[in-house]
Amino acid sequence: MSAPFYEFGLFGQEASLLVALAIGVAFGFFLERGGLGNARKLAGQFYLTDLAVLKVMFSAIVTAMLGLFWLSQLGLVDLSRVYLLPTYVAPHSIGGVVFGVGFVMGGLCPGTSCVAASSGRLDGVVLLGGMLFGILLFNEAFPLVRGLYYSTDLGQVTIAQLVGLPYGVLVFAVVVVALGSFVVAERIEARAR
Amino acid sequence: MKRPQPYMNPYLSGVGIGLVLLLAFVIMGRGLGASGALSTVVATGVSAVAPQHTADNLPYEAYLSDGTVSPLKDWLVFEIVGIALGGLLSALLARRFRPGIDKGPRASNRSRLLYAFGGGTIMGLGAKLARGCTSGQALTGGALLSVGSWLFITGAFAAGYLAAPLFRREWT
Amino acid sequence: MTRPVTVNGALATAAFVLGLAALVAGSPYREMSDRVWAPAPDGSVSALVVAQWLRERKTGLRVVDLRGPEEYEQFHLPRAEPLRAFEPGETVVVYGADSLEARLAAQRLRDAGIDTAYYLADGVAAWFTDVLNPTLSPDASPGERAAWERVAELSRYFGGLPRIVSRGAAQRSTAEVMRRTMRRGCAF
Repeated sequence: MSAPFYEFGLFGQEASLLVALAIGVAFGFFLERGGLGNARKLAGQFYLTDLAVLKVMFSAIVTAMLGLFWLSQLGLVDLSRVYLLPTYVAPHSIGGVVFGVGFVMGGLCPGTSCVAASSGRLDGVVLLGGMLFGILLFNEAFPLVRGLYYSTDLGQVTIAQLVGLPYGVLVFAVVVVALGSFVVAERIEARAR
Repeated sequence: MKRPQPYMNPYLSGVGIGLVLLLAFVIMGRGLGASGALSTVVATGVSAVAPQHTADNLPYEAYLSDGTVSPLKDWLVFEIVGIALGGLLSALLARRFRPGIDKGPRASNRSRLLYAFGGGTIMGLGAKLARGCTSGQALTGGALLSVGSWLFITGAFAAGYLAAPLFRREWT
Repeated sequence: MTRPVTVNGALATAAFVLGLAALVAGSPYREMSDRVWAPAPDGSVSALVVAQWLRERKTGLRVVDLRGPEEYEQFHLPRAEPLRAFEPGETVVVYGADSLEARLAAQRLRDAGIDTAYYLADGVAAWFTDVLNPTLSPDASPGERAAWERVAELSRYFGGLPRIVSRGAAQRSTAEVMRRTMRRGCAF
């Protein structure tokens, strides 16, 4: 099958940059539509007043996951040519925890801070600046964290492969967990109102 | 002054983002990202003022090119510019473009901005260590059922809830 | 009273149905049976595929036996050609993932009378390190610098990125060079 198109040489690097721009515009558009350019709304996730983050992110994950699964089943996409991020257990776990602390502190993530900034929010701009600084700090401290950074490398592995269950079973499980979390989220928000 | 529109149904906007992510998979064979573009910006900036420092230095070099073409000519950089433009477009259409600062009712502008910078710094560290952020790891890796990405999601949400009491004054 | 169909309800139902169907759908990767009857993405084919192609007299099919003349005479696949398919006088370059298989193939060609048969040293990765990403040290000798112009021009012709970097940086592994050329994550 000839998708992913870029992987099959259907167009070159220059065109892919235009694709990047277009995809980014659509991404940013929908982020703002859902209100994720508003730090207060995002932070509400962690105070159980506004669970938009959960709803938007999980819906996006489920949509893309189901889409990719079924397009592969129909033979329209070669799933083995889609880049799977490698797993590094410790860096992903610890990095996630660190990121989460920063997230509830700052109220925006890298993508949404761009949306906030372009919506006129000064806190979005400042947060972006903070992130650039954090990246700089990491780069300068890299020799110290180098060992951790490359540790616990499991390579490219899906949850399905890790637990030894068929891919489709995990797809179903994620859908069920997502829908269940949405039901709970609606209840929590109703009580907060 | 016209009132801003209410936000879109979050599930619908999530489906919209999911379709965008799916398009990225189908067209490019890769997912979305954001922190990577910021790494490129940092590397480009530092190499502009101190090229010797970045020359032999892996975390910078990984995001630089050979000098004949700008390192900013990069997929994620173009994508993140698009994110900003898309956000602007949606905000304008919904009459939500408003210079200002989003913060909790009890917070001052000063504290909000300080926490924004601090939170951003911490997220920068976390995103570098985890090789991605919510766009790259959570959304992209999550949809691909990548183990590391789901570890990231779990860690981030757990930490967010555990750390939330520290910042209650800022948001509620 | 009938319950109205809400947007959320419709989305949830669709997701559940698609998820449920995924439960019984089987692997989204190419199935074992597909792999038996079709080439794999890495370019390998099973013997059954070759048999199928031979049987249906696939247009333009050529089967090449990389072994020596003795083995070929003893047995070869139907309608397989030995490396003698190449002509003496032709300059033949073979390359593989590394030097090993290519060197053997080049030797076979030379045994078959093609004296100008060569193999690419260090395999396909060498194209990346030597052509697409050649490097020159800042403290290179004048002789090295003179040669560099030619290297850099050749590299640019093929869309490469010649760079002047310190010796330490240049000694990075080929795997890393290839990985960076095709970076698709936020990692290094």
